[in-house]
Order: sequence, then C-alpha cells, then structure tokens
Amino acid sequence: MQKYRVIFHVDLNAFFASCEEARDPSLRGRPLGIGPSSERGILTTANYEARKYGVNSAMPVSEAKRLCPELKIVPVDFALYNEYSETFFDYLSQYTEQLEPASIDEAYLDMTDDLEDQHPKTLAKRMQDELWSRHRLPVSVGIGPNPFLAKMASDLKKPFGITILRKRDVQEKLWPLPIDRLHGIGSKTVPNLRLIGIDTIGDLATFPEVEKLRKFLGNQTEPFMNKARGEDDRRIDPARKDRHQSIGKSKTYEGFLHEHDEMLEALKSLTRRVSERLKEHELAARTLTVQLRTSDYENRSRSVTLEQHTNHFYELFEEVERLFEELHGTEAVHLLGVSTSKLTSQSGLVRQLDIFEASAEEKDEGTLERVLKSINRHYGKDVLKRGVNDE
Amino acid sequence: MDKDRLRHAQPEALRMVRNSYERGRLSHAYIFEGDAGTMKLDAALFFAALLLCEAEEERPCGRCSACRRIEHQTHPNVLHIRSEKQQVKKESVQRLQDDFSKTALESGQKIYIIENADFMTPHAANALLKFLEEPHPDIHGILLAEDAASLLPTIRSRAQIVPFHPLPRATIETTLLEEGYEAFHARLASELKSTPEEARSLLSDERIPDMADLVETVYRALLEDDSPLLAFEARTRDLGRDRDALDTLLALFILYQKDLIYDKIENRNQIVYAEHIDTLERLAETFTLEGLIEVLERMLTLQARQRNYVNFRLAFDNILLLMERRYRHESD
Amino acid sequence: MRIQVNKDRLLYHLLIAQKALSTKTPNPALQGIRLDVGDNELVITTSNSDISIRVTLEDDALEIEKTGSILVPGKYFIDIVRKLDGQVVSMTEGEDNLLRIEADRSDITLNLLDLEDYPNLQFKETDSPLEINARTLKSIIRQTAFATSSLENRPILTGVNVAIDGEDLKAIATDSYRLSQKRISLPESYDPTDVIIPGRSLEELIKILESNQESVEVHIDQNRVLFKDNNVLFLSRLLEGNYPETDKLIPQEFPIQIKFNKEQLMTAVERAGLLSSRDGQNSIVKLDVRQDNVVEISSNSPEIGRVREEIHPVDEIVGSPLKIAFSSKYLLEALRVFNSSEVTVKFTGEIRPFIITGEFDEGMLQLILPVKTD
Repeated sequence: MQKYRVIFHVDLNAFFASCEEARDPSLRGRPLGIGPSSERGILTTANYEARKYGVNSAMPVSEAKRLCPELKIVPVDFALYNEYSETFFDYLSQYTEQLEPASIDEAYLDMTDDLEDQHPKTLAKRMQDELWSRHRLPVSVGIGPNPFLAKMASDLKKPFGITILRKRDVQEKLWPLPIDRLHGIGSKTVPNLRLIGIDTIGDLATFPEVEKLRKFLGNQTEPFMNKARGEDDRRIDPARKDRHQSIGKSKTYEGFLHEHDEMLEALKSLTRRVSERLKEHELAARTLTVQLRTSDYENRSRSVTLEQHTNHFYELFEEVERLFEELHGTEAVHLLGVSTSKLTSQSGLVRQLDIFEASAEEKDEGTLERVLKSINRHYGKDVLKRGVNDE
Repeated sequence: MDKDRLRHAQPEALRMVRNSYERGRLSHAYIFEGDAGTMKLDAALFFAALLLCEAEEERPCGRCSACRRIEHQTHPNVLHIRSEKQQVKKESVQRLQDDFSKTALESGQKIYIIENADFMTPHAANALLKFLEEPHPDIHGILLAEDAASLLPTIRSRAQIVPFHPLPRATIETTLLEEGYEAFHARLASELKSTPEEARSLLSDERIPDMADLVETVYRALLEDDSPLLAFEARTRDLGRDRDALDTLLALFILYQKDLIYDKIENRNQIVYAEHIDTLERLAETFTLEGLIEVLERMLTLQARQRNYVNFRLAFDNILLLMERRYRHESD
Repeated sequence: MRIQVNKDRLLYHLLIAQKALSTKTPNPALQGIRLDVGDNELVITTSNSDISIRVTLEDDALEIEKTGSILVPGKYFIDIVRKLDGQVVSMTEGEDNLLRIEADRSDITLNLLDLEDYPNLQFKETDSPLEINARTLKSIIRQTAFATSSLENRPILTGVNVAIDGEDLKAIATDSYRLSQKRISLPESYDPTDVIIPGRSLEELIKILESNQESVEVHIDQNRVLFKDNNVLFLSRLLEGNYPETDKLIPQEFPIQIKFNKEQLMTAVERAGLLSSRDGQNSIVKLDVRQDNVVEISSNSPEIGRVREEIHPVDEIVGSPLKIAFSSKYLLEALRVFNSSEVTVKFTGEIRPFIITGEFDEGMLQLILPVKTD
C-alpha cells in the first residue's frame, strides 16, 4: 500500500511588514504599511493591524491614510527581505532535504521520511515557535497529503495558524469556499466559471459537464478538477532549493555617510559579502541591484543585467560602482544595499575568456582564487579564507 | 543664420569665440550659456562656419558651400544632437562617439553641438566626459545650456563658458518685423518679452489684438464719462480667472500707462500705442503727472506681487477705480 | 538636365548604388541619389556617410540632350524606375526644382532635393593603387570580417585591420573572443600601409563585387579607402586609432594537434550546440581528447539533457589528453570560412586560445578563446 505523504506548506505572514517589525520592534502592534511616503504612491503591503482598518496591498497611500490615519509607512527594503528570506530557508532546511522554496516567503517541505515519529502538528508548532522566538518571523503552517492541500491549509488560518487538511476534510472544509480561493485559478477565469454556475470549490469538483469547463480551463481542466477534489500528485522539487531568488546584503548607517569615498568603501564591503555568500551557495548571479536611501529617506535603486553570470567580487564591484554613480548625487546616505538575482548554480557557470584580458586577469583575483582553491583542496575544506572586512 | 542680428544681439559672445579662433587657441569644448532664444544655436553654427568656411577672408563668408550647408544643418562635419523630451540620452552621445571613431567624410574640423546640454542624463554626461578627457585636436564641442551650473563640474572644468545675454528689445522687434508681424504687435511683444521665442508665443495667442483693443477702450471710457471698471468688466467676463490672460492684460495696461506718462513728459518717440496718439494726448492732459505715476506704481506693484494675490481680479478692479478717481482729480 | 536612358540599365546601376543609400539619417540630403549628367556619361552617387558609391554609366544605353546635376529622393526614384513600363526612360529637369520622368505612357513629376546640401565626397584615386583580383579580395573579406565586433564600446574592433608591407598583406579581425587572420603575398611590392576598415563597409562591398578574376583597384589614404571595380567606385571611411598588437597574443607552440574532417566536426558541434543554448547566450560545448584517440564533443543542459558525439580524427592525435570548453558559435563560424575539407585544431591548454588552420587555406588562421568553467 502506498504510504501517505506528509507535506508542509510554511508561509511567512505579511512578510515584508514582519521583516520591518523584526528589525524595529517598536513598529509591532501598530498599523504599518510598506510603500512610498508620497500620498500618490501605492502601498506594497500592510501588516495585520493595518488590514483590520481595511488597508490592503496595492492601495493608494492617500486612501490607506484615510482609512487609518495613524498608519505608519516605511519604505520598501528588498535587501532586508532577502536576508530574512535566507534565514527562513536556512532554518527550515535543517528538518529535511526535501525542501522547495515556492517564493521569497513560502516553502513546501516533504516531511514524509523526516518526521522521526513526531506528530506533524508537534513539529509544525516547533517550527512556528522557533521562527518566532529566534527570528521574530510569524508563519502559518499547512499540513496535507499533497502540496495543494498543504497550501490551501496554510491559507485557512493566518497569522500563526497550524491547519491540517486531510483528504477526508475536503468536502467539509474546502468545498464551501468560494471558487476564487482555489490556488492557481486566475482572476479572469473566475467570472467565467461563475457564469456557468460554479461559485464554490465544491461546484467545480462536482461539475458534470467537463467539456463545457474545458472552454475556460483548457488543458488545465483535469488538474483543477483534481485539485478541487483534493488530489495533487506533484512531487516536491528540492532542486529548486538551489534556485535562490536572490542574495543580497544591506546596511543602515545611523549617523549617515557623508563622503563619497566612505560610501564606496561601504559598498565594497557589502559587495564582498554578497560575493562570498554566492560562493558559499555555489551560485553565480546575472542581475545586480544597488539600493540606497538618502538622509531624506528617499529610496532609490537601479539594476543591471550582466553579460554573463558571475560571483567574482571584482566583476560585481565594477558594476556596483557604476550603478552607484548613476544613483547618487551629493546627498548623505542612510542605507546602502547590494543584491543579486537571476542566480544559477556555479556548476553551469562559464566565463568567456577575452584575448586582451586573459593575461591581465591571471594576475589579479584569478591567481589568488586559484591558490586558495588548490590549498584548500589539499588540506580539506576552508583552511584558508579570504579575509573579509566585515563592516 | 542671420549674422547681422547675431552680431547685434551677442557681440561679446561672438568676440570671445572669434578671438580664440584668430589666436589659434580654440578650446575643445565651449558651453554657451544663456536663456532660450538668446541665439545660442545661431552662434554655434557661426562658430562651425568660422572653422569650415572655404573663403580666405571675411570668414565666415555665408556664401560658400560649407557656410550654406552649415546654415541648412546638412554639413557632415557638424553634428547636431537635439534633445528629446527635454533629455539628452546616452545613445545620442554614443552616436557622436561612433562618428568620431571614423575618419571624416569631408576634410576639416569637426564640430558637435549638444542642445539642452544641461538636460543630459547622468549616463550621457559620463559618456561625454570620457570623450572630453581624451580631446582630439580637430574636434570641438559646443554645449548649449540655460544653466551651466547644472552640468557636471568635471565637464565644466574642461570647457570654456561663453555667457549669452538676453536680447536687446530692438533686436526682438526687428526679428518679429522681419518675420512679418504687424509693427504694433512687434513693438508690443518685444516690450513684454525678452526673447523672440517668447514674443512669438505671446503673439500666437489669438486674444492679443482683442486685449490691446480692450485696454484702449477702458482708457477711452474715461473720456466718455463712463466707468473704466464697468467697461473692463463688460469685456473681460469671458476671461474669468484665467491668470495668464490677466497677466498679459496687466502688462498691456502698464504699457499704456507708461505711454500716458511719455506723452505727458513729451517723450513721444517711446510711445507704444502710437496708433492711439489722439486718445493718449487727450487723457494725458487731464491727469496730473503724479496721478499717472501713482497709478503706474500700483500696477507695477500688482505685477511684481501678482502671485501673492488670492484675488488678482479684485486688485485689478481697485486699480481701475483709482485710475478713475485720479482722472477726476478726486482725493482718497 | 535632359537625358534618355535604357530603363533596365538604369535600374541595374541604381540597385548597386542603393547599397549606400541612407534610410534613416539626420541629414535629409543623404536620402537622395545624386545624378550628374556629363557630356557622355551619367554618374549615380549615393552615400550613407559611412560608405559612398559612385556608378558611371557611359554606353549606348544613354542619350544626352542636356547636361546637369540633380539630387532625387532616392527611395521614391528607385521605386518609380522599378515600376515603369517600356524600354526607355526620359528624364527632364524642369522649373522649380522638379524632375519630369516619362516612360511609355507614364508621366511623373518628382520634387527634387537641394543639391547644395549634398556632401563633398572625395572619390579621389591615389597614384599607386593596390591591384588585387576580385575573387581574392572577396575571400579575404569573407574570411575575416565575420570576426569583427558588433558592439560599439571598442569601436576599433568593429573594423578589419589591413596592413601592407612590401609584398605582404595581412588582414586581422577580432571581437576579443575570437580572432581571424589572413595573409597573402602580393604580386608586387607596395609602400607600408596600415588601416582599419569598418567591417560593415566590407560586408556591403562584397555584395556588389563580381566574383571573377578581374582586378579591383584599392586606393588607400589616411582618411579613406576607395575600391574601384570597373565603373563602380566604393568609398569607405576608416576607423581612427591604432589597432591592438595581436601577434603576441597568438600562441606559437601547440603541444596538442588534432586533424579533423571539417564536415564531421561541424556536424558534431552543431548537434551539441543545439541542446545547450542558454537563455539567448551562446551555447557552450566541451571537447574532450580521450586517451583512446577519440574526441568527444558534448554538452550538458540540466533542463534538457546531455549530448555526446564521438569523432575519430583523421590522423593520430599529437599530444596529451585535454578537455576544453568553448562557444559553439565561434567554432562553427570559423569552420565555415575554410575551403579545406580537413582542418587542424591546435591547442596549448584548457584556458588558452586555440587555433585552426587548413591545408588549402594558406595564410589563414582562426583563433578562438575558450570559456572557463568553474
């Protein structure tokens, strides 16, 4: 008999807002929005306190302020969120190899073989408690026999929910839900389904005229009907673990940085950290972003797509410097950030050699790296490491 | 390129450029700095013609093939970067670099002109800077800017700044006359605006003839024992609170008021509303000089502080009432 | 100006001149075709500023009634001539800068451009042009120009460096990832010359050169190069600056040498390259020289799979085993310009440039930089 799978879906609640609260606990318990300070801007997201007032993501700041006059708004800080995202995945990876990051703030875990005789709920509670006590990250955990039910389960109770959704619960718990709650159904499809009388997930599961349905759902008809019946045989894909969304590092400078040279030094140190981290994860990046916040709390960022993937400090820093010159005028700086994305595993990484640089390159980083590598290979791991000026 | 007009309008700028040419001390880059309409582009083309003219003497001759093509902006050695949507992009500067990386199609010096150089994107400015750092003896750049201070200091330090001053009124008037505007309108617009562009734009407002006529009507009401205020109200109802129109109207009143004073002090060749000299004379006779000056001062105050007036129109009305009282020699 | 001209002859020459006609240019005069009618010739001139073409028509196809010069809007003029019926076109310059075109029952009036705005093109011939036969010239271009850079950030690399010294002519192109070099011996000795001709100009030139044994005159001076092929003059601007010294970048000693059948090698690399194309980047293939005298060409794509092709070299492999990776595009483009059916690939190391030569491609070498896989 086939063994039941135990799939966890762990979802960070109000992720951006939670990161801001984790960094600055004084923000906690008060309505908080993430977005531009200008009245005409649009909120990226809001915490649960703010949502009680009806404040939502993608809402104009002016409207949010009207609904909730004491709403505190902080600017978006992707580098911070990337850091917390990494913390989150690092924490979860201790429980199983079978971990698949679904996005920056949610993960699927196949715990079938890694439960070690614990009740799934006990384990989920531990994850939730530890993520909160250690990192101040609130999560909801959904548990089910497949990824779909796990995902639906985590959606059922937020924040701090732990919900189990078994096959036998589907009729009772899933079917009464409106059809737009079905994970994966597009907002444009929903009105069409309503038109043919499908209002709830149950309506879809039991819809008799499959051919009629095919008009709207196409080749996704069967998969969606199966999901509505609580069936999903998708495997967890741990390979996706390696496909980090991004790796970055940022730092705030409370007294502000005033001198251009200071800023470049700070960026150098951030870039070195990013390069190190990419190498630790055996990754190379194709997209590079530099972020800065001025002393007036104006956020600016700029990205560039590199000609080829890289994790070399010199190659990254060359672009960092260029982006920074574009972003920065003369103002003092409160925050600097360097982040990389479009990552690929280093094993697939190739560098086209250049006839005019081939000889020059061998002299600088290349040689050093090679020497480090060969010594480390000789004596096992990490005998030598590049000295990093960590801030 | 109207060389005479240019010579008249920007004698100092031309002298600077010509001196550096004649002494063989051409700079690799110049910044022509001045307001819109101060003939910076004309001067840049003059500079190009000075370098490329085929004549031996009296360069630029304005008649040779090089001069004519520079005037038509078709000379291959003169590269002209226009700004798009008030921006000069990196691609434009790259186009220059691309061209300069090749030998010249025609022999002689190459000149590039960048319009609105103060609106270069940082990318474009950096590309240009690289270029200025490795100057080529046969390539000269002219950056046209309203405000040189907004260019990168590293660009400024590599260029010679040539200031362009606002045009003399008479130059604008002559320009407009040559372009076929009526004498009265040319005079009017040149009094009100400091560049031909602004003057043309003013005259493109169809209401201008009506407004000029309105001013005369309001003043004439005094002679006919009518209320200037009522005449004004009757004719300006449709202007409502159109601030720009009221601004223009005020400027026109000021000109008329000045004319009255010129008539009073018998300085009649300064008069703008010369067509209405009869009315002007009859009115000026009745006012005292002090009365005329008092009204003018009120008008000028309103003009200077117009942005502070919440109810501009009310302030305007008060001036007309004052005008009526001074006409009748009433005291406040 | 007033002439009658055979329509087909006119069109034929216009289509040659069209290669240098500007379509988008800030200078409207360059959108025109210049027609100069002399006592017994019609000269057609076009220019897009980078290249300029001048074609002379002087045969019985022509009947000149009145000489003169005009500038016609290029695209319209060619379209009109193309669509005309009849054998003979008659063109008359009218009042008010108009051109009247009559043929068969058509009667068309075209507004002319201002001739005064046309650049003063220097189709000047030099005293001692280089003479080279058309076929040789074409093959030099074909074997080098493809390796020029298409990026403008190092303008000099967008050109082919042509250096003449005595009887030796050397053409080099590189985009810094691969390099192509061709040397020929000239029948006569010439003064030393070293110029960089834009690759794009040369690619246009081979489109209009006949592939025959007739000789083409090449007039080079400091600022331009002029090719003269009978009645066609082709003028190009040059790239300014000094071409980088490449001789010392080409390895001289090759511990590993493998002779391949060119077709077999191309097929194997093509197949491997198909699979590994990475989001729009060049596909990377690996070449593995095995102990057993077999060469393995492979590529690996985590998403799609793995290809492995085995090739048996034509001769015994000289040297030790080696693994090297490179962009398939560079190898294929290099192989394509060989006339030889067997090529020798010579290696010095895994991250060192390798070169390709062929027995029947005397004086040519293709060099490719490998990629470094970490």
